[in-house]
Amino acid sequence: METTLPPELIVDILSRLPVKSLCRFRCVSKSLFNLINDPRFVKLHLKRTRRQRLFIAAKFVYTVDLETVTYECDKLVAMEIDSLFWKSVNIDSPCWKPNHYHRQSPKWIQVIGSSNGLLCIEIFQYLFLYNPSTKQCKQIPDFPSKHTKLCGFGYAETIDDYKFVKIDFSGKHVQIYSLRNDSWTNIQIDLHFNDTGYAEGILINGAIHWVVDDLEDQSKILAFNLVEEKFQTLPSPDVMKENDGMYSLGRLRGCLCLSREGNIHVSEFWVMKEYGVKGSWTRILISDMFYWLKPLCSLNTCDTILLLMNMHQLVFCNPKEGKFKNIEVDGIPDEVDDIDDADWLDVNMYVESLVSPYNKRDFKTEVLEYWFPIEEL
Amino acid sequence: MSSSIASSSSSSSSSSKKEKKISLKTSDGEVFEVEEPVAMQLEIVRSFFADNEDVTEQTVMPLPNVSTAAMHGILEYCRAHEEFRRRMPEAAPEEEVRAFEAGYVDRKSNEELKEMILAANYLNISKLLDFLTGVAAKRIENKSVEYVRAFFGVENDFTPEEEANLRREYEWAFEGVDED
Repeated sequence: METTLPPELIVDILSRLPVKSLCRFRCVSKSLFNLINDPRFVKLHLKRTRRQRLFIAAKFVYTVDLETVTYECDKLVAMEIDSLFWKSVNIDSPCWKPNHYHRQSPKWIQVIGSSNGLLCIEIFQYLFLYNPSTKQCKQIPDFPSKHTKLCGFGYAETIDDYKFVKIDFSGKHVQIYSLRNDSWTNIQIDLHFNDTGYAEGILINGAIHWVVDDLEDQSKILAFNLVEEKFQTLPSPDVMKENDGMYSLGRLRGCLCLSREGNIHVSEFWVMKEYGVKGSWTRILISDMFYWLKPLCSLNTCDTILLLMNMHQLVFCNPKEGKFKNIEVDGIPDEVDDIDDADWLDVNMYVESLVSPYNKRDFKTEVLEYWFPIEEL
Repeated sequence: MSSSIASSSSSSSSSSKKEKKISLKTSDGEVFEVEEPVAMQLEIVRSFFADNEDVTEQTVMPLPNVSTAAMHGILEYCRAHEEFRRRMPEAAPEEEVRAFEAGYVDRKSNEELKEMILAANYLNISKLLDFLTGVAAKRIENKSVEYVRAFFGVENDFTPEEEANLRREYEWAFEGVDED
């Protein structure tokens, strides 16, 4: 006689699978179909797997699997994201040339944020939520793209919602899109800061973070809480007070990072190890100079962080052991027609997930009770 | 054997001689005499002895949901891990553990694997259960829909049209699937 596993053990096994397998196994039976779509299963799977990937935008878009990548690897392999993406964003062909990077003029494709496997992408003034793992894509309606100064995207756990936020150049209007409500709201504020250009915010702890300059030209870290929809400033490391200049934020192992950028070359960045605690800002030294830095992720396999340097170079770095090396990406053809664009890569980390960019679903309760006899989430 | 030097020291030889055994009886009536530290990895056994003051060394604990075959597999795993722990109490020798685990599951059929998952779940050995469900996931991750139906013993209750529609919707997910 065949051994049959009880539902909770089937759930356990399925929650460890890659998203591609789960998309296939929706066809197994109606109960598996419903389970794989169940928001509780989606959350369990997300918590379990944390398979990291890169989303790379150059002239085309690519994905890189980091699951088995270690410091010893010499190159990463990029796969072009197929025509399904273009079909779902309803754009015929990605034949535009990326603009040369400039803070005031965004590239043709702009990843605004990545959260739980959902990417928020602006393509020619249209805004999309895209899950590269399930290939589901949704255009956010009525996107008021003009005059954006600060924007950001992320998940707010306590209200189980994804929000996109934009602040206009005057610093007086905040527009917020909620995926749960599939609608926009406006709030009036009175933020006073100098114009430092366009910036994508960094999501940490359910808040989006930017560096802004106040009216005395002092750089500040501004946080917008997605649940309360309120602003506050965070303590910054002393380096920010001592040195003028431009700063950018990043995210590494769930912590906020800060690096200097611009004309000077530096070899350090800062990590706020404990959220909101000034004394926890820690300096990380790396063994090369850079003028622009974006931390991407730390590898699951070893104590190595992956950074994007100077807007085009991926590097592996192990600050503890002082190890550092450049890493090439296979599969992205060089731009030959325009020298200026050759060195441009927009890279973002995302995790494989089943999270849907669509907001409304209805489930039959009896199916849920069958799979989740005990409330475990 | 490298243990000859260690066993000549007085304290360890005396404790190993007196090593306590625990008797566990499987569903088909076989009684296993299991070294205490190994048996205590089975949470159900540990709490049985912790919660019942009137049990003695002669008590035979019945495990009606565990077959003899599954018990052999479970004890092989727990004994190996106890051995790793005894040799290196601070940190398990990771490569050795991985090599043991890989060889250990290669020998198991899908049926045996599922039986052991059920047993590990019943005996409440979270580490082993975690390991085995991970192995099961690896086994099915690149397989066909039909293979997974057979693995879980699930009936296909879609109409042919419904299934064809779903397959079309996720066509890309059917590329590069292993043969059954």
